[in-house]
Amino acid sequence: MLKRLRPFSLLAVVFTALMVASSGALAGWELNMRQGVTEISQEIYSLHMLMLYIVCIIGVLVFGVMFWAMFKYRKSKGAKPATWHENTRLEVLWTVIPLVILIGMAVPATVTLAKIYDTPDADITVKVNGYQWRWEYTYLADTPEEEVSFFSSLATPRFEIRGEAPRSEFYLLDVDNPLVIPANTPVKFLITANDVIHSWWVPDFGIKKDAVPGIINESHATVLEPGTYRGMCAELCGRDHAYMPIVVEVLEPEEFEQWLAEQRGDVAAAEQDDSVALTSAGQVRSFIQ
Amino acid sequence: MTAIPHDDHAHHGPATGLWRWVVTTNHKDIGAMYLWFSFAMFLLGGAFAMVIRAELFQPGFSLVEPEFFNQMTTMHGLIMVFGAVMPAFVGLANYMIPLMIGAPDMALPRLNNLSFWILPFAFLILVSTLFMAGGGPNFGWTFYAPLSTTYGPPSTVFFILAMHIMGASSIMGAINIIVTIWNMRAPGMTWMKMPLFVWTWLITAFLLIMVMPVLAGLITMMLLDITAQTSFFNAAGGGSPLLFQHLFWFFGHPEVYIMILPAFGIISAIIPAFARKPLFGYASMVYATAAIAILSFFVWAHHMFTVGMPFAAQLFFMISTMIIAVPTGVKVFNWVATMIGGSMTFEVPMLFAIAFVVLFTIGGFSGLMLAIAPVDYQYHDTYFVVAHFHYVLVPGAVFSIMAGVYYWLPKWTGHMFHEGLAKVHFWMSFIGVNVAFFPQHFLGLAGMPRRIPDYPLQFANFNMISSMGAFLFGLSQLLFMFIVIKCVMGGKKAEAKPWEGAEGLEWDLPSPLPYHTFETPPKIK
Amino acid sequence: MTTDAAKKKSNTKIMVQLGLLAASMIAFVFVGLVPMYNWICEVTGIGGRTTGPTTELITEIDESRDIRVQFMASAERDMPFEFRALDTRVQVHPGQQHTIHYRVTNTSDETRAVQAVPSLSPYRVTEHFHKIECFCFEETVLAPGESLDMPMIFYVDPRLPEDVSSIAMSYSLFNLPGYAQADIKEPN
Repeated sequence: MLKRLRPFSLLAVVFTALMVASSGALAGWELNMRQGVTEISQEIYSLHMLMLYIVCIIGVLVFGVMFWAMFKYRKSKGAKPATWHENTRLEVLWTVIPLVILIGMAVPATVTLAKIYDTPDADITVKVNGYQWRWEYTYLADTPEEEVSFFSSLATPRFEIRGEAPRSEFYLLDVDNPLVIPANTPVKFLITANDVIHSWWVPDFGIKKDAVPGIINESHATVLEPGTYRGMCAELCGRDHAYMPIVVEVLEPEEFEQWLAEQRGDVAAAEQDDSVALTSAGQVRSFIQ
Repeated sequence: MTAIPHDDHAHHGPATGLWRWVVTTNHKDIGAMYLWFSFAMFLLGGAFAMVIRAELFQPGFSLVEPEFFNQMTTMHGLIMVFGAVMPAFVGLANYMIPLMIGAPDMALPRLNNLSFWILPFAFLILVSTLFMAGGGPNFGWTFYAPLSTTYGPPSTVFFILAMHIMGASSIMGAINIIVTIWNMRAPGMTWMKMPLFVWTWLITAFLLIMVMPVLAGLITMMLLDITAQTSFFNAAGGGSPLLFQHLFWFFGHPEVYIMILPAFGIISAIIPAFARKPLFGYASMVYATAAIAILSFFVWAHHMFTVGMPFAAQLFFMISTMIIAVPTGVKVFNWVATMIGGSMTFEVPMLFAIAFVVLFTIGGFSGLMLAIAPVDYQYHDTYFVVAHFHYVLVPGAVFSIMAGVYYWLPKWTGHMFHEGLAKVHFWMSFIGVNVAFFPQHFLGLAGMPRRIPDYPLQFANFNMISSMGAFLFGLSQLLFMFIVIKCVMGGKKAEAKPWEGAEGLEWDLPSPLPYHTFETPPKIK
Repeated sequence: MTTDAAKKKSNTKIMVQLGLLAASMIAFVFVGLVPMYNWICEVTGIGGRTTGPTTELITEIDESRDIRVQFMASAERDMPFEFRALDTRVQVHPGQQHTIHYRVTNTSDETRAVQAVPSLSPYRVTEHFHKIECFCFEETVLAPGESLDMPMIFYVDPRLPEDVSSIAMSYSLFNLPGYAQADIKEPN
């Protein structure tokens, strides 16, 4: 009896600890993928749910049969073992049925994949460049003078990481200069890296693309709703891999135009002041001092 | 007196003292050493996992610096894959394959000795890198260039040396296993009479011979890039970091099956034994294993859907990966069909085997989800992947090894293990594994990347639960060690065939096994 | 006893065969997989890696199509170089030749050797993007403070897939591997 109880008492300990952990009143119980704010991300979400339902149903059926067998054919209930060990019809059946299910899964997956590859003509192109350990964003323009470029680094202070101060709501998900893009406008991201491989991931856009040195990768997003969206670097890139978040501020198109013009103005004004340090890339400037 | 000539001098038992273990060419000695070695590595890799989970218990730097954390994740992966799981299966192969096919020993006993004894040196070198200037490998067990080449620590060359030795050991072990199965079967032991463990190992050994050289070539290129300024993976000289990933996963995906096919063999021995009914669909099990092995060469790029690939390539790798679900499904259905109509009892090996079927299947389900390229954009490199491969490797490969150890322990030692303690071990492991790894699915879906020492607050709760499960699982393995040692030291006398429904030549031999077995080939029914 | 000896001999034979299989797999990595990867990259344009200058010339210009080509530059981490595209965007008709320039400046106080690696996006345009003159994969040695404007002449193949209307091209500047940078003498 004691042996039977032990697992349950352990479970009880786990759940008590859970209660203690949750008393911090954090929104810490997210279970599922985010639906996101692009057509693609929402389609990915539906695809994910479809797959989840299919495997759950298969799981319930297979495990159901197995547990029924374990219950029915136990020696303690006097079951006598049978000797059959082959049934070609059955074996063909459970090779063919999974194939049919797989085709059912592959068709919608292919449709979504094709949609991801069918890229719209983008008016705005942003170059995303991964560094150990921050991101650089460059808005490509017609002339080099009009280009706007800045670094985006973690804004969470060191003492919060060290636990010397209470952690803020967006602990490790806050940057000094967020990427700003317009809503309802196709935006093209050209992703590359400067040292090791990084991966630029914004779950709400359904985009995860590796940033590989010497290679440019392309991703597209048409964000449906203005807001602030956060992500993290998704490829191990060294010591501070956990500390290079991505924050994207999505504005209404007019607000975005205004913002971009301001950045260009700032850059021009700053050049007159001669107060902006050039970095190695030559045209990299921070727009918020 | 029909033994292979070199055995003649040792006919009356092993040499005495520690020297015996250094010079032994006996498959049981070497098998046992492999198993103890892999268990030591399991505990070491487990200790590293405890450091990882302790750091992740709460957000913030609680215990170790990120630099050391990265070394822990890397070492945990390398040691568990190359030090714990693979040598454990090789150990079981050494111990059991000659018994199962009625051979007196492995075909190449001295090669066998060599392939074991270079292994401890490989791991000594690997672990010693932790104490070198700049620290040990910190680039993940997948050691992607250029993080591991241009930006790697100075100890990387020692890491490469250690990997070369491990690879050589694996290739020699695999050659030995193939020669043994090919040439040493007792008269009448035809191909389709071989136990499935032998079949799965034969196929695994071929996989090893095909892909361990790929790993060797890959790390040689790394070494050249680091020391001889070549540019295989260096974009600066016209190479490509993506070439590294393609080569790595061309090795890496078959490697995954190297770690699971022998498990299928063990489970296919245990379920019929405790259901007292022959394995359902023996032939289809063999074909399914071969199909999985062949398919494993055509799916590698599903590990790299996010690197940027043409549409056609993504589609190809998505579909080829999904197809693997078919032979894998056949196996699961066959195990369930074996249970139906049986007369089941639930001794500890059977408990582990049933847990294997359920939890491995869950790992298979998440694997199927990961195969769907568009959705993989959201899963890739998150804790969803971590949950997936831990479900496949811990309650998959590791549970099958434990099931095998409990199943054959009475045969090896001549004693029964303590059934009650073993049941406690099972339940603690079962609960620990699920509490540790199931919440990681949620973490990954919610957006937590893998290999991070610190995380945003919305991931705090499930990380704490996961850590507690991991501690429970870790603790329960100390109990496992105690149970095994206790069984070696003494216990209820085991009969030649302690499990009523067990089938196979090994059960015709007395327990404990004599030092030399099947010197005269057995009669096969 | 004779059968044992025979068995042992055949054991050795299989062992040698399997050893050869393993050895040939190692060789296959170098002479099979690596060239195969490079070949596949060339055919499919994976990685957007373009090759050197072309000799094939097309005279026919398709004026019905307007292709936007954008140029980017990046320099490897910690390189004391300024590297940028002087022309960041051009509109071209397929078949029409264009010249653009990149400027590279050595901001350090020593002579250094660098090399630029090109990449194109989307990948499937790679085979339709022809360079008549380029500085890709060319070793460039720059004295301290020296600045160089490097031209690239290109045209887009009229066979460019219909749905492509914009192309991005990036040059990444790297230190030349195999050069101990301090040892480099004056440029020839």
